[in-house]
Amino acid sequence: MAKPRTVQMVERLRDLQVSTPDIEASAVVSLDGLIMASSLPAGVEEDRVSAMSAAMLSLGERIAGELGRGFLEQVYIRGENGYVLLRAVGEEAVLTVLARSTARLGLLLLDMKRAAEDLADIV
Amino acid sequence: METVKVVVCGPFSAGKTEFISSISEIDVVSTERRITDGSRVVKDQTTVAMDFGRITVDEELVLHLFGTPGQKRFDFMWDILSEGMLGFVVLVDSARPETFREAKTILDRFGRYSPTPYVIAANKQDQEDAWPPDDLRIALRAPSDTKVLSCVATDRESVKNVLLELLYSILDSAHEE
Repeated sequence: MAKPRTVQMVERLRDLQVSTPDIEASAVVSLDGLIMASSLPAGVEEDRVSAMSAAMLSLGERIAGELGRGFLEQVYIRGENGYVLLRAVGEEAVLTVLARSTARLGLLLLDMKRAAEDLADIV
Repeated sequence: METVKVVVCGPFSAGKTEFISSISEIDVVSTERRITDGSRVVKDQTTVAMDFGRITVDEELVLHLFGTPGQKRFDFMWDILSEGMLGFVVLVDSARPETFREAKTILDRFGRYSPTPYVIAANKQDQEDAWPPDDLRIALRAPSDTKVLSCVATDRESVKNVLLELLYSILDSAHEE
């Protein structure tokens, strides 16, 4: 029997974090802001991460569309202590990644793209 | 030209997006998403970040309307959107008394952000089981000088009336200072 989808998603998130150790946390969130699968360290509040991801992606899509940038591929936030990266997973979900400031951004984005493609098949 | 920032808040499914869409002169910037959990029985889509609309009142006055997401898990957007507001509308679905407690909580929270004028809009007055504004006032324990207005968010004139009443309150409070 196939594994439940949530388990498959969590496994894919763990793979992502193993291949890119600078990732501190990752989650798959529905577009209305509910957690679908997550690999978050203790102390990170799931509900906040998911709601904020949905709000940010949704605003990003509106902005990209209205300002003539086309279909949104990713949202990139850089803070003093690291990155928050969002990427759409198919048409129903978002992949959110929290990474350390030492992360190599190009590689990180590439790994996220692959993960998002795989996750889209599971969702 | 004076720009007045008004926030439209209220519980899930009170009619906030509809309220702004009815009156905005620009294509509303909305962030509606398909609902995936149990609240789907109430409606299909929900706001996840904000709505934005604009109305020109006259040559000197433009209203910017910001609608909040109703669901509690998006309350960080309430903090963001309330920044710099000059007044707010608490929209309530008068036909769903089970949401009144949440409406009261939201009202109190927005009241704490800043002491700006506000009005309560008793929405969905076109529905048979809607509570009249006076009953809603009691349910929300609103002071007697608070405006509790009848509203049908799909009706442009009704929305206009609510916003004008809020505008009068804003102007009055500006004169008092």
